[in-house]
Amino acid sequence: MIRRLLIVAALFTSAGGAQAYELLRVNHDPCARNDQNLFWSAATVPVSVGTLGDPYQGLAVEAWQRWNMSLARFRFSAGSGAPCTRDGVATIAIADQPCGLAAFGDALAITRSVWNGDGTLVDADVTFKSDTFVLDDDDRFRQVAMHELGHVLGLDHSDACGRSGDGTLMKAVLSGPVLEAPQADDIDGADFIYPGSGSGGGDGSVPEGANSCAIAPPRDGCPVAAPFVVMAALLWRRARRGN
Amino acid sequence: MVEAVPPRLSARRTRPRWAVAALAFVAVVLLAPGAPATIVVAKDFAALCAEADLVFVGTVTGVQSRWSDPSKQAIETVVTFGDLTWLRGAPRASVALTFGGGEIDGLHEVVAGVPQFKAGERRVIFAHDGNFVSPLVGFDQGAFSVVDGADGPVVIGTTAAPVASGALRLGTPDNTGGQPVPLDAFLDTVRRQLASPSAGAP
Repeated sequence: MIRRLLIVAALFTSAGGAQAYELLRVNHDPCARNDQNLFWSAATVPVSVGTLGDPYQGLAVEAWQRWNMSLARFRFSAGSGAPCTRDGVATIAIADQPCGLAAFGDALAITRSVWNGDGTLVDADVTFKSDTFVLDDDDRFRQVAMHELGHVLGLDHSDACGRSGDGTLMKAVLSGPVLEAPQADDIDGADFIYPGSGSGGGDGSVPEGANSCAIAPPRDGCPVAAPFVVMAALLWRRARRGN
Repeated sequence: MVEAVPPRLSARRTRPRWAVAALAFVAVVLLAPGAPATIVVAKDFAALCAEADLVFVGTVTGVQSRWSDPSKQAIETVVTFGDLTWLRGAPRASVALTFGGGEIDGLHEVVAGVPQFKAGERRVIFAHDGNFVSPLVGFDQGAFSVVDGADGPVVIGTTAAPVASGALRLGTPDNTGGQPVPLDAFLDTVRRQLASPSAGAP
């Protein structure tokens, strides 16, 4: 009986929930899968971190570099721009208020993306709230910067349309360990927008299960309980040996 | 005198103890509350009620975008609600909430996570009173759709589709399971929570 329970627990924890990326789309609804997704026509965008002090400047650079290391085609690059202007530069800043908008409310960081009717992005800027715990934790700051840069390149929240999004960088409300890099599901989404060759875009549809956890598990997200399953198995072996 | 126990018996006695301990550990880890949110702060039902200055049920009567700054660099959208049932806040015939993002002359702006509204939709709203990118409590967590059910109006999650994501944020996941809740029952629960706040409801 106990063995069966352990097997069930192992299957449960290693299977994880089916996940899939979601994309920013022209009609503001990530769940409208037939709508055109947003994209940068050149598959690249410069990132300006000049307004950030230490250590945030270095962490923000690491954030876009980690995306670059993961992606097939899209590239972030170093740039210079002013916050809150439609200059085609993704500016990362820390402020009391996000660009031209009212107070943050319950958000800790936001990305505002601007696009034309055909889905072509023309600008995106990231603003961190100036008084949050995120600023006190380098790893968390880098993770949130990577999340916001995911929005910059065209990804929406992975849990926006009913999927759990567990273990992905793009989950809106994130629990669990700090993520050091974009996860497999996040990368799949970005590579879908910017395939290895050809123009960006596509119809934005996501084949059900094509990027699910079972096929392409995130590096340290989806099977988050796997170490505990291993531990349970070791304990089981120890028990069988009778100490 | 200590009695020696045959190895097989010993193993048999130990196995359940270790196995149960392992299972319990895995269960505790899996069921433990998440770490603090990064992008938005997670709100449970008690927090939604406690932090909201305005709680009402209303029908979206207008959605109008405008520039939010003189230099026309940012867009905001005013969402007006009518046909209101007030649960918290000074009752009035209509109320307007302003959200970041929108569309003007073919130029679109979106702030990821800001909920979208369409005229004619009916919603249960938990909101802050003030100017925010999203005035909803928990950014997008304080908006629940009301749709027609077989036996009357029901409340579903924050997204347009009847999926679990929004409902799962109301209380603990297992409490709702993403199932539609009759509007009257939902409002009764909210009223009780507002009257005598307690953690963990509904």
